[in-house]
Amino acid sequence: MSASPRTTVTILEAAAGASLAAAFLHAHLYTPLLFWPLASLAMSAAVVAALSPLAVSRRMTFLAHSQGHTVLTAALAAAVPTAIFAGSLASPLFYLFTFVFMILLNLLVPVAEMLGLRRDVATGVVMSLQYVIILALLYVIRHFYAAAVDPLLLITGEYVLITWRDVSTQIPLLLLAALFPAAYGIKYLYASVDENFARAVGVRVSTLDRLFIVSMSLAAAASVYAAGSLMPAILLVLPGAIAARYSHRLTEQIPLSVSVAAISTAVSHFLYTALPWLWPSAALGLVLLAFLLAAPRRRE
Amino acid sequence: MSFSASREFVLVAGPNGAGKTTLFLAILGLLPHSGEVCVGGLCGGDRAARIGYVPQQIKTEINATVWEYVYLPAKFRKIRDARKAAEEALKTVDLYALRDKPLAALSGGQLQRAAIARALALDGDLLLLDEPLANVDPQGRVELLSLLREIKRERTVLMTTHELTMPSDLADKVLFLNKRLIAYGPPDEVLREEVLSRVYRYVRIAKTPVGYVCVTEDYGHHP
Repeated sequence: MSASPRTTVTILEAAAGASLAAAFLHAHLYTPLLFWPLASLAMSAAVVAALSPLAVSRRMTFLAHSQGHTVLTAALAAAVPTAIFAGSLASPLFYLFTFVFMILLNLLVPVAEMLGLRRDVATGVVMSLQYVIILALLYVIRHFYAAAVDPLLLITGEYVLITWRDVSTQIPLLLLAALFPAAYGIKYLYASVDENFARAVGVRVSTLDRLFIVSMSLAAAASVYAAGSLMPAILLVLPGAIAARYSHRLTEQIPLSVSVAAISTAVSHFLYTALPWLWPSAALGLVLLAFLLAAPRRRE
Repeated sequence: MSFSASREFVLVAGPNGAGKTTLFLAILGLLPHSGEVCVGGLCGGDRAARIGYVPQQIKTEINATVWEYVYLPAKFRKIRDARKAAEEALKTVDLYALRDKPLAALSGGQLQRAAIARALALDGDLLLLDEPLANVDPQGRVELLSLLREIKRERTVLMTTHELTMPSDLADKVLFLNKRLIAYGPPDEVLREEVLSRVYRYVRIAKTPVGYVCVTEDYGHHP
């Protein structure tokens, strides 16, 4: 006999709290150096995952995945002025520059649309441009700022170097990013059910679309130092896709997505301590994939 | 075009592409338009608060229960006691027992009834139904028509259709469109050969004891 969907959701939410508590206790007692990295990754994963059902339901997974390229380009671009002004990436300036560059790069999509390109083509064109910028910046950084910036760490995340100072810088940015799903998440999800109807009952869908992009950029920029540039793109898609398989309730999608991300973060912590060659963000991605494969097939 | 209706059931008829859905989107304020649309005395953008809308296409691939589909818009629109309004609307359309089911589990007829419940829960003066009888089997059609008879007693209803076969007691008026207003009036005045022939070729309509029956001639017999 299998558990009903509602029971499964309750179990997942309880498991999220319990597994995170266990991971933090383990980090505190046995691997204190990983306590703040774990805190940073858990917060980043939770906030980005809260945005995930919105990306999945609004059919923005292509845009969400493009954030991986966008945040890498933005982080590489941000690394240059940060290296000049602060000397190292462990500076609030890095988050600020990354966010500003992300917004600018995301705005390039509507600019490309103005040239007459369809949205998906415009997104692809901007992504291509970003590849070019990435290639150029990698060499610029290696040539001029190699002592201050390791480009590989912008892809994988600094993780083990995370301190309370980094976490305290992240908190306000992630809280700001979390405001959108907390305040408008349900309305935005409903706009996926029926956009015209949502507009007719007063939901400002276009404004919410823009706020979603700002929140997504903010969450990705705040996460890049700890989780790397690829992880936000994964967290923007997989938890929402997993939540959609565990529950058919619109109002459960965001809490479920956050729970899935929290469990995966906790499990990835234990995996990393047991297998130090498995980088935490990679472990997190693998746990999410396992979650997706283990999720029940939706029965209509 | 200019027309008014008060606590009447108006059938908005016309061929595909006549502008029926466009008319609804303009009434809802979702399309820029010239002229003035007033609902329940409100003529600005706030008139949408007086309108319930049943769209032509209902998406089912999104995760939502029947309850969420009906209740959430009433909550967004800050309807007083939205929960009770949603409950009553679901009972009216006989879907209360299925409220925890996913939308995707409903049949075509049940989906239309859910969309009608959602519009009813908004407690508007005007109900816009966009092709609710399309994609519904004959039994579902009978159930929907019975439901529409109940609904039309309490509010103005505009329902689009390109199907002219219908019970004679359903519509109080027929608004016949083809990019512009062709005719507006009681069914007996509008559903006549002289009016229909301005838009359709090879289409005939007859009034029978149970309603209007629309038939198409075999155009192969015409030169």
